Amino acid sequence: MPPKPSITEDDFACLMRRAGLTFGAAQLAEMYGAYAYVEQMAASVRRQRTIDSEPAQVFVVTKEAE
Amino acid sequence: MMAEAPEFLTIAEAARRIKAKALSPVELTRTCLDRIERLDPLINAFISLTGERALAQARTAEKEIMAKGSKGPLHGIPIGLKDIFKTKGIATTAHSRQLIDFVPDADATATERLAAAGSVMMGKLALHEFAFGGPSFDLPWPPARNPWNTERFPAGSSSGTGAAVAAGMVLGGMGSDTGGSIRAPAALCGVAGLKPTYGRVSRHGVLPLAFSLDHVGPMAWTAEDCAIMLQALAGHDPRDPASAHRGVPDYTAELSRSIKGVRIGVIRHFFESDARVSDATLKAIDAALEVLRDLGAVVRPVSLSPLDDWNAAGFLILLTEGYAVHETWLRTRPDQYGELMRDRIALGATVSGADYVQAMRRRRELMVEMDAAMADADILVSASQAGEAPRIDAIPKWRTFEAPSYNMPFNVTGYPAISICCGYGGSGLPLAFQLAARPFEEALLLRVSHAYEKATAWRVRRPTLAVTPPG
Repeated sequence: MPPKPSITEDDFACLMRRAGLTFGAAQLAEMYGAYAYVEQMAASVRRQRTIDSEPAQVFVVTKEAE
Repeated sequence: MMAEAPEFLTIAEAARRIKAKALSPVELTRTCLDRIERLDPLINAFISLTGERALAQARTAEKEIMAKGSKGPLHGIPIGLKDIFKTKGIATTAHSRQLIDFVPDADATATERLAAAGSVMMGKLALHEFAFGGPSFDLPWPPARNPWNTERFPAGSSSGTGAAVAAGMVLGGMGSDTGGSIRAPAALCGVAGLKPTYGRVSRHGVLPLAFSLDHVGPMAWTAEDCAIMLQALAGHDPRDPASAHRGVPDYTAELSRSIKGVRIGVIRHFFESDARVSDATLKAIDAALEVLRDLGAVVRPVSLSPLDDWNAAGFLILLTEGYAVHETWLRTRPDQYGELMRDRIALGATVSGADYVQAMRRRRELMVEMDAAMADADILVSASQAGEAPRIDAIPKWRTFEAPSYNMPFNVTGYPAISICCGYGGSGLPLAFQLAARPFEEALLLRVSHAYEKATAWRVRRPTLAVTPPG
């Protein structure tokens, strides 16, 4: 397990409620622990980059979309 | 047709015999059905078996071959489909209670193309629920088990396909791969598993996990068999918005050409320091590189960003896109999922829009980085799995996030990658390594893999269970 998440378990429960998801207390507690992985990944993809750094999902207009 | 013992034939060998009218598709199909009847109660590779339909298809194939000759190397060959490929009139469950009664009214493009090539569809194969949650023991069907040792994990998510091919229940099968779901079960089940370039094989009619990472591709006993299947599968499909407008080369024509001078870049830090593989796997990969060197390849190290970086971008994207796919059901009928799928994918609800875009920005940077690395390398080599298959009852719920995937980097870039067996470990279970190529260079990837397989003896061995039935 990575370190404890930066938010509280109540905050995590709030994120789930905001998404419209309903889980029991034990389940939420377990998922809260795993949420630390999400935080780690989110921190990892934040790099110093220029404001115009493009994401990978930009697309080329095709006939279908014209 | 004259019947010959069709025990453990590759697709290539069976096709040669069928073409020469020395092997009957009906007999070959019966052999596979017998093997399924004997072994599947132990392996659980099949969710639904379509035996009568398969025999009817085999009889049709036999008549066509006798009247007009074989229309190609898949004519009369028994195959299976991971149960997320839509099959008209046949249940397509994604190994989930959510879709237990779902019977599609049309085939996936891959299903259509394999049928058009004359293959015999034996049934629908087990997977991790919706290609993400597994191994699960709380679903309507049990998880597939590894035929080399049924106490062991076959990996996933294309678990049934890997197990069925290894046990000889089918000669080839289809998998899907969002973060390694073809290559991981190929590795642990000791078969060849090809994730083609993103856009090379249509995803139309394949239930999604994460749209921008999903690939579909073949799994078979050898790289040559993967080439045969890819030939039938590849090509533009206007029904898949990611489908590439690219010509399809002849994947088998140059398989036997020398690999002399092919430049191989080894991403050694991925499997030696970023996430160290077992000693046996390390030794097997080094031995495989020696074989490739002996065949004339030029081998040198390549350095990329740490493996964790590729996994962070990949899994953030996977969680976000996967959550969006399942959002409605997670809200309205979460109890219809197994625990692993539900709890893992629900974490996607916590990923912000900005997180997702940053992951996509990181993805572009990583794609540029891999592209640059391939300026001096034709093939990249890494590990495929960390070692032999672990026990199936010892897979942690959050394993996906705890142990970085060696496969995910090539989902992030969309480059073609293949898992190839490179030996057996101390417990007698398969070991594997992974090779990747530039986009749309599957022909080279398959040629190098084929050369390796031909130069080694690993393809001779089959699971003891399949060779010598218990009792």
